[in-house]
Amino acid sequence: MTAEVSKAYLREATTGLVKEAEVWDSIVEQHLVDWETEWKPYRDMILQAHRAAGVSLLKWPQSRHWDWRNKYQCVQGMLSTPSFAVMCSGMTEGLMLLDLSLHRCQLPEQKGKHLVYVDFLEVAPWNWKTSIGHSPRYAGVGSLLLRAAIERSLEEGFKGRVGLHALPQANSWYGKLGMIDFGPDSSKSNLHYFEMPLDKIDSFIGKDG
Amino acid sequence: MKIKYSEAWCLKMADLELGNEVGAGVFGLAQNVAKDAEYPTMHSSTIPFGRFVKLMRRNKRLTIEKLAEDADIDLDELIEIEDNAGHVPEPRTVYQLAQFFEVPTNNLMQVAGLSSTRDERLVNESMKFAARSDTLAPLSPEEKAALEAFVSILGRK
Repeated sequence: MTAEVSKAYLREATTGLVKEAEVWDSIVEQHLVDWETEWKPYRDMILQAHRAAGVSLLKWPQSRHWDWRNKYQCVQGMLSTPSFAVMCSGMTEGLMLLDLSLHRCQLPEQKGKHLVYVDFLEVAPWNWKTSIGHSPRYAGVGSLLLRAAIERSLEEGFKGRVGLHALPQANSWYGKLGMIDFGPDSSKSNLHYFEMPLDKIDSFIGKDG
Repeated sequence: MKIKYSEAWCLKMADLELGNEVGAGVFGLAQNVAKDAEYPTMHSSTIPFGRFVKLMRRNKRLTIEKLAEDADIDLDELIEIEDNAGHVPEPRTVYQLAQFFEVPTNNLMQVAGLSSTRDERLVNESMKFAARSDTLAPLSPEEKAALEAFVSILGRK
């Protein structure tokens, strides 16, 4: 399978410079290799820094033990589980897995309708914002991925409807985007479930100016 | 599928996203706790790491200031790394030094006491390296001058 690549941009957090980026409409081996050889060692360093500083486990990055190769292998080739990756300067900066079939809308005005569910969305550990021991490298990776999920929803005829369970440290971000917070979901480790209402989709993707 | 991202949209969103975590997806709390236990406590000594950095720097004939600038790391931390055996280096600094010295990040992380894996061979070699690199050679004229100048400053009231 050949991935299609869309041109995008990121902000280098430390310098404010604009960097060209790529959004791939499929995770490929190169992304998984970057995860294994670059993300994992960096993530380990961050976790050790958290341990050394005596940071409470509750404040450690919750995605710290995600295994992207395993996640991807479980769904590889399935038409109902598309994937995306963001790259910048030859390095994978973000990964996302979607599900098109298992979830339905919960918002009253579109209850029961199909939506794109974001199964997993993660940025490279050097882009984590709240971790100690480093400054984030790029800003904007999460937005590129969420936009890709919405665009996929539009392409599927789901009118841009997307839903996701946010990691606890990301609740405020999805609230800021205008997604509706359904509160803790006891069937999903009490993560908050968020859904994008139709009237926020155009403003998110920039169609209303 | 092709997506049209405008530069203005990307940058507007990047600026909005700055300072926010964005992760989504279910994680297993119990699984996290179990895997956290696999992370050993930090090594008590980072002497080999400090020695390595110092010798690599000297081998490249770089001052501490120049290495800090070229490797894009904080000068204060570099001084701590070279001279404070108890200093716990920042992950980013170890990463930058590994890139600069062109050595595997994984191995340097372990020498710096920041790795969840523990390769006994590497640990032993690190300690041997630390022992062998503690030179008994007399100070070079430059070292002697720097030391005397510093002693002179220390002696000021």
